[in-house]
Amino acid sequence: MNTYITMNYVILAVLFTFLITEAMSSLSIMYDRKSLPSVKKYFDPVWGVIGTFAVFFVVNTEVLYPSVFPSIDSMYVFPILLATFLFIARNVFLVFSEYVWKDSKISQLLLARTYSIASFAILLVLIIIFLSLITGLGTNSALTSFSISAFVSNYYSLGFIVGLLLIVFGLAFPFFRLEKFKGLSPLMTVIGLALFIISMSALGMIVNYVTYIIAVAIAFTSLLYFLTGKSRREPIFVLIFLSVLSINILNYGRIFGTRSLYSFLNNSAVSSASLAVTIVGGLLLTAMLIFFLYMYKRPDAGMDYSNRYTDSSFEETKIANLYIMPNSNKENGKEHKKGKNKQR
Amino acid sequence: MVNLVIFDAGLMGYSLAVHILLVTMGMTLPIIMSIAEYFSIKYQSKMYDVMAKRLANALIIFFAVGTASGVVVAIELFVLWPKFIAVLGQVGILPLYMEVFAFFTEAVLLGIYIYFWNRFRNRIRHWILSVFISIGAVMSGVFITMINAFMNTPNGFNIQYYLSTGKIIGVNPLAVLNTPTTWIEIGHVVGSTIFAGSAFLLAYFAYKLLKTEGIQREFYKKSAKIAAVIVIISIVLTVIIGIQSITSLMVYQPEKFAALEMNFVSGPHVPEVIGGLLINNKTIDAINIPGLMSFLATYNFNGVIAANDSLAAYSPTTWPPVSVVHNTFDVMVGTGILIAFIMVIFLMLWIINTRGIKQRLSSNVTIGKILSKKIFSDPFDNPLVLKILIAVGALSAFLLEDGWVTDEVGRQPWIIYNVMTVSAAANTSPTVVPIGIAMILFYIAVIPLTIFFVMKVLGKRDLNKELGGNA
Repeated sequence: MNTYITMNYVILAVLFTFLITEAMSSLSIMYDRKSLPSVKKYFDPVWGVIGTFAVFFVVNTEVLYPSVFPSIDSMYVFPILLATFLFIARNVFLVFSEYVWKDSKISQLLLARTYSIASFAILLVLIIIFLSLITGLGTNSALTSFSISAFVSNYYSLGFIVGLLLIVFGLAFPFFRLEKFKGLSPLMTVIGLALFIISMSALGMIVNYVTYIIAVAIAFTSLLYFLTGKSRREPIFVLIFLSVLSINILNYGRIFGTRSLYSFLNNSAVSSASLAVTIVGGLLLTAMLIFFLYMYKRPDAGMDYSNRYTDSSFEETKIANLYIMPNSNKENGKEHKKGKNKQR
Repeated sequence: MVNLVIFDAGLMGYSLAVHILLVTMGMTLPIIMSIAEYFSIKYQSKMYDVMAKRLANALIIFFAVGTASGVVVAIELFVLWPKFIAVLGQVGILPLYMEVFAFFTEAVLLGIYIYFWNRFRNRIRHWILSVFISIGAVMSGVFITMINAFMNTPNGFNIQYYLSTGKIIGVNPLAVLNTPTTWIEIGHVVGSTIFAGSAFLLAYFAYKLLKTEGIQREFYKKSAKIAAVIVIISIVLTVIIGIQSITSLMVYQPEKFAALEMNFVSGPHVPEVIGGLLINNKTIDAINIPGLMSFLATYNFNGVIAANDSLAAYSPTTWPPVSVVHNTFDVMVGTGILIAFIMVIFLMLWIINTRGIKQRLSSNVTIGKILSKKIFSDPFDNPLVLKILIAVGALSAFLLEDGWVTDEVGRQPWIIYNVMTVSAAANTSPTVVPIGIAMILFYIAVIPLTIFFVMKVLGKRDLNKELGGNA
């Protein structure tokens, strides 16, 4: 195995893990409005990191295989720009939903659902690109154009995407502890896994015992939640990461179906320098993410500094009402008019 | 039929122009936020604490939109200029890669800073995060500027061999971190970006000072003072480094220098050309100040300007649009000097009104009489000065954009100076047109919408109540 290619695969696996959990957030908000507080509690602190990982992967790929970019650019220019466009919409609606004022005419839920649709569409576009890159589906032999109609005319490509989305929906239940019809969780997960694996095999991607072990573990997670109502996010996170990584490792070095990634590798000088930067930057990033996780798990200290201020004796100001999610801002506005806010 | 090279260049330029405005806020807000939080701890001041929190709210909104915009620019760079990226990837990509980690520092720590604010038992530790967020934001700018410096003065590979064979050999990926213009360009870009961002915030605070009273006014006065200090420091540094960067242009990009100066003359006592147009390769309607260019370049009115610092030394086919870049350059220099002059006067008024100084000066009857005039009153309480500060804020955004236009258009027709032309690097697939138009339309909405949203978010929260006054 090549160090640089493996490193790129690991970054891709982390990115897709984040993207899939984001898609779970999207599906949860669409499926059950009551999940909004739970989704936001997970998603609010991490959305910036997810976006940064997307940039990380793109730049790392550019560093490792610069000569592949003219082909990728000419073939996937439309889906890439579309994903970028959706990314802007995602960020804008996300932050607007977070900070929208209470008596706004546009409800927070509506804004959250809008960014959810954008996030979901981003994942769809990226999966299409990813699948096409590995299998060569939809591309012409000269690697100059990509046809979406040629891509979908192979029904297994649709099976791959639908299967993945069903798995994502099924896992969203234990990830956000959704209660509404939770029997759907194992059902959707198992159907999704079957569809996903059959499609992978039919598309010429390698499937072996590793794939089956991970699939059983994913199905078991869903089933366990259905039976016991208990779940933890960490194992789901690890399972998604291993799934994406295993697909890459099993199809190691393949690009556009039959080409080898090795032929696109950058010169050794840039590759070596980038490895050094990755190690140093990766250590820094790992340290920051550990600190992030530590703070995420840490309870609110409820520190009240107001009695220390020399220029005021008033109560402390909160940063934002991040986790107070009224069902509807219009409703909240009415409460305000009726003076019910005092009762809260 | 759309000329796709011009379309690509226009789309890229437009996206960058919008992105730069967001970057100015993204780079400046954490600095002012960090200073505010430090003061809140040092002086145990609620007012500074509220300021830090409000700026953090504004920052996260600008960060979200700025990140999206940054991704757009990065993707456009890859999609619109594939051949440029292929060369950059094999030689000078390292700063772009390092920028990702600076970006991570900002993104991860900003998440902790804002969303886990109340989980810190030690305020100093929380404040330290803001310092690293500021460093992350500035370093992102530093690394991206390194790429721009590489485009202006490429190094790190065998250029002659590449020009004759199209193949890249002799790569030194670390050389791109230190091109001949890198550090001067970084100083100028970071300085001018922080200047523009702080001037814009100062304009906002000045506007609020005109509109508010009581405790709110006190709040905006403190905010304005922090912003004003940063504006003064950054404009002075930007002007000084700007002069250095002109000298560096003369040496390393002489053709660009000649175009910016619209200069056709070499030898001693060369005049400075101000304004004017180039029509049929002849300068018209320009003001010539004898010997001034010689003086600015050599500190001697009879100093010699080298032959390669004149447009006459180059074929017109490689000239950038001379009339455009010459005038944007003159406007940039003129506006920069005007703002620096205004801020120096502002600083003097501020110093005069500092506790004790005015009293001491007023002990002299004549001086006391002069200082009692309204124009010498506290600049933060003087409506005329506040209105001028609002104008400076608007001018600063214009100045920043104008500077970037000068730099980028001045390098035309090259995307990598003397190595690769813009037309050779462009993606001429017609697919870019519809989605490009959609992006332009989207961007038109993004900036006003973001500013409106930030204003609304801050405006909807009751500042009086937050500060401890009556709601």
